[in-house]
Order: sequence, then structure tokens, then C-alpha cells
Amino acid sequence: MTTTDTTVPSWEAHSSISAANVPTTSSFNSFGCGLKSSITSAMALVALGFSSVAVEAPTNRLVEAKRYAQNESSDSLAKFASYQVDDEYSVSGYAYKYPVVTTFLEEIAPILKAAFGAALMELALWTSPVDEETHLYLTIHSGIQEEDVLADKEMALFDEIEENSLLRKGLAHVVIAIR
Amino acid sequence: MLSSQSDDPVSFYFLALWLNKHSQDPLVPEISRVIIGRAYYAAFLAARDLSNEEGAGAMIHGQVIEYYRRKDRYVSNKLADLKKQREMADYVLTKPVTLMDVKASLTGCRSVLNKLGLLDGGGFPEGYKPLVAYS
Repeated sequence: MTTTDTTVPSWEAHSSISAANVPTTSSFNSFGCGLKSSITSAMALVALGFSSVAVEAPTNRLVEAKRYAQNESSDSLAKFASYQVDDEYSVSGYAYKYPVVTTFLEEIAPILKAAFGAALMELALWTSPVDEETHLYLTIHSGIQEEDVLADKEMALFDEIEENSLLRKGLAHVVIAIR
Repeated sequence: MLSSQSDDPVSFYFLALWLNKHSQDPLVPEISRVIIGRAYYAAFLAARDLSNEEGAGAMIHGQVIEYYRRKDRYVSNKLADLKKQREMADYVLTKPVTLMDVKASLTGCRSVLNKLGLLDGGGFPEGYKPLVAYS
């Protein structure tokens, strides 16, 4: 990736943000690792006639590096991030860049399984269009409707995290979202 | 016409609640995005005001989240989650906003405000006098 040209006019930079939001359904693959997602986004921008500067602007890139864990696979959250792919914005690439993320996923998998059973899990990278920071978001689709029950489980989860230094370190890169 | 105490970030939360109450049937996508935005800014601004973090611009959001990562990881994580929801609502217009998204933002905001001691049992905080009734 080349450095973004900061001389790009503001209107064009803004346009690139909108263009980056072109649906990138093709970025999903069977392994959900977001392989080629950056290429897809770039192609979408090119198709819309944006300049190469806009193509290479990494702002507001939603990388749909998703993989769903159902049933027994919630034991293997870390495996989501273990695939070695070339896309630097993939979940695996992110975990490769920050080994503490893989450790975090390995550590938290049994805790989540105990707390939420076979709940659907989702891993996705999100690069903020505001500050351009990228984090890995672990969303737990708990299916719990009662807000109080969900809040209690959430607090219990963070109590466990507080007792585990590996999990605490992981939170520098991973955001947990419980729905 | 709504009015509120403009210097109190918590008022954004009550505005979001009011909007939610009046836009769910049917769900109005544009209003839903506003609700998510107000919910984030209520939590973020309240958290920022209680922290020692100063500054403006894009980086202050991350600074506040980092501050609470050292102080209260639950709040830090919630702020990061709310921040992403707000950014998706405001920038990713191709992704429809769902009732679940709105609910998650409102409950997340309430959790942060509660954890910061700014809500009294989920109701209006002590001393808070809305200029109009949110009903």
C-alpha cells in the first residue's frame, strides 16, 4: 500500500470515503478471511472513476473479514485468525501483526462458550473513517433478549477478563460487542 | 419542539430515547442513524468530561477510549463499540440500520452513563432538569 497523498482535495477525499462503502459482497469467501477485500474495494473505486489517490486511501474501509462460529466451532476462535493470507486488512493478517490477538482469541473461546453456549460469533475488522484506527471486533450474537440478563453476563465476562492478563492485553486490539 | 441543556452530554441520551420512541413504527432509517450518533456522543462526551483528556479533532475519541482502558475496561470497550456503531451509521449508508442496532446503541450508552455514575437507576440523573418533557 502506498502512502495516501495528503494533497488530495477535500471533496475528493470525501468522495473516496463514500466510494469505499460500495458493497463488497464479493469480498466474502467461504473461509471468511476477507481475502482480496482490498482489491475488491479498489476495483469498486476504479469502476466509479476515482483517481489512484482515492483508490489507495485506506479511510473508512470496512473489511468484511467474517467467519461465523457455530456450535462446537466456538472452541476455535483463534483458528479464524490463523489462516495466512496476503491481505493486510484481513483478520488473519491483523492477528499476525498483533500476536496478542491470537492469544486473546484462544483464551476467551472457552469463556465465551461457557457463558453463551453455541451463540453465533463474528469477527470483523473495522477501520475508523474518523481516526483511521483499525480494531478487531468480536461480536457475540447471544440471542438473549432480556437486557438485565445480558448486562449481567457482560459484566461477568469483563470480571473474568480483569483476572487474566492475556485477555487484558488483547483488549488493546479487540473490541467485544455483545448483542 | 425539543430543547435541552446543551452543556450536558447526558441530554443527548434522552434525546436519543425520545427519537427512538417516536420513530420505531415504522422505523425511520435516517432517524435511527441520528439516534445511534446521539447515543455515542452522549457516552463519549460524558466520558471525556470525566477524564483528564483534552483536545479536539479525530484523535480525542481514541484518547478517551485509551484512558478508560487503563481505568475501566468495560467502559473503554463499550465506548469503542458505540464508536464503531456511530461511524457505520454515519458513513456506511449502504448498510441498513436495524432495530437491533438502535437498541444496542441505546443500551450501550446507558451502560456507560450508569457505570460513570451519571444515571440514577436509568432515569434522569440527580439535578437534571430537562427543559421540556421527553414524552
